[in-house]
Amino acid sequence: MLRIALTFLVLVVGFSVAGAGEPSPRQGTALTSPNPSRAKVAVSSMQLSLETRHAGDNTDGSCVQCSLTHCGYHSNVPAAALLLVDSQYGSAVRGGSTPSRVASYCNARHIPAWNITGEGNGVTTGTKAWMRYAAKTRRFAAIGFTPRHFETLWGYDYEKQKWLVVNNQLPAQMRVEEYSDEEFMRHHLESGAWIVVLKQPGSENPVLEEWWK
Amino acid sequence: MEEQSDGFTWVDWALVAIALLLLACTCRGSEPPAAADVTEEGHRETVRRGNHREDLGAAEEGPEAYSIGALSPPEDDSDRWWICVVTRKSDPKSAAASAKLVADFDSSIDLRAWADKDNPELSWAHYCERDIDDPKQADWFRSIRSQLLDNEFPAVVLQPPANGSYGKNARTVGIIHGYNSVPQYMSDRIRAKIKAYSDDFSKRKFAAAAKAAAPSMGHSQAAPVKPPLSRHPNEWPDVAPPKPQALSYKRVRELCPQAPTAWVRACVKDGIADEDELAEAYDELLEGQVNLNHPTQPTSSSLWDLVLVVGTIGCIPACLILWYQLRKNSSMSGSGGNASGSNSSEIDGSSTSNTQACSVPFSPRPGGY
Repeated sequence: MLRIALTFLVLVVGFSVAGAGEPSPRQGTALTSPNPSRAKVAVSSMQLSLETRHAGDNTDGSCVQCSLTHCGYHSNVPAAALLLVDSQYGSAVRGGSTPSRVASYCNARHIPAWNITGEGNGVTTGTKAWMRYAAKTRRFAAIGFTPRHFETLWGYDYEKQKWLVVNNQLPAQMRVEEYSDEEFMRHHLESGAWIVVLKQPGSENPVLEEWWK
Repeated sequence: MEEQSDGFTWVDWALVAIALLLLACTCRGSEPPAAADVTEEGHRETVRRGNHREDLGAAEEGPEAYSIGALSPPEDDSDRWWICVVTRKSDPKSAAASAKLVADFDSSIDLRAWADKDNPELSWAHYCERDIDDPKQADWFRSIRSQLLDNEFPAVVLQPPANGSYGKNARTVGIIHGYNSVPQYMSDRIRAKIKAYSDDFSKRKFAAAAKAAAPSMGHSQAAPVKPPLSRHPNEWPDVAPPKPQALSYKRVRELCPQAPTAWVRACVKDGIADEDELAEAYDELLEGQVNLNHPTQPTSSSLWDLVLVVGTIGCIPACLILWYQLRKNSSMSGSGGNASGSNSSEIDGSSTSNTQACSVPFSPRPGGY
């Protein structure tokens, strides 16, 4: 009898594991290459290595600061890059945030940024217009994505017409995920239309190339 | 193994172990419970704010920090070039020069014309400062680190715009190493680098467009690519341009079809390489500043001058001779005036008639020289 019970327990647990291992309900697919800079398509994106991305690991619900950390590394804004740790710019900023809290610590640390809320008309105003602007001008952004969560707007793939997003939660392992416009906006609005864009843009990592030949 | 009490065998223990292991995997594999990344209050505040834009970081917290600006994003600035000042704080030798360069980008109009740190919206280029020893910037320096470390600091790295109008943004247009504390010098170097790159890029683009537009019919001449600037110390690229080749006889003949052979040979011998310079010399030739005809055949303008000079000089002795003859005739009363008549006719012919002096071979050639 005990053996039967144990066998049943094993089967139940086994099915549970199988169920937990399924992909998240989100439709995104991770790029096969963890480094989008190796892609051969016309892409405007950050170029942080995987190791650098892990500087923004989310261990305690600090997703807004984690995303701003990525933006700070990309644009070389140390006050934003060091939000999660104690530094000369202030104590570590941990935990969940609101637009007011973001405004408070950005003003205290003199981090030039825009704090944008609202859907606007979706074309010239609102968070979508700002995200298009941020991707094109290489500022990128910390964006609301999926309920009660913030992720990093990593870039935009102009050839595939896909948005690129990095999730700072641990199981996602900082993979770059791509979404169609519809999926992207759906997940963005689930969190509420709110994004934070650093004013300082960042160039692509320079390479030495004999352009005169 | 002996059976344990309560019917536990090793098989049972194995099943328990497997069950515990699977439980542990389940706990690790699943996503953590939803943390309060964006709190409920944050979500409500987002709703309350509605369509709102807030500019952060410019002032201390207070009413002035909250400016409700335009709801649209600013103007697209992806067409700006990039200027990055790279310093090395661990190098005390370059500290003074680095500080001076950063300060001059603040104060000197020669450098502010390129990048205005205080007014980014007015700046011609995006400006940034990076320290090569900053571990947070390791990704950015990966490809150019060795080039930078082998040369002086500070360094100025130039990149083209992000919108692709001048090629890939990742491309390094040029690197200027060191700073001699003269802002104008740095400004000149930046200008030279960007100009050389943009000239080269435009030529390639034009050649590619021409090639795409015209069908290929045999030979396709590649557009000449201008080499980069002449060798300049402490810069990248530092490739010396090839020596300019003198124009060939055939080329000079093509460009100067009406020039005499001797003139063409003289140009080739002199080693003229610049077609503009050749065109100028040819223009001077056509304007008659150089005698195109056979050296023994004067031009019409020089002929006319000669006539006037001879005529003027010839008038004096002619007048003297006439006067002498008249006096002689008057004293001899009636002796041969034929000689004087003939002389005077010759004199009249050579001194009085402006148009008759231009008879063949001195008449102007029809159509000019």
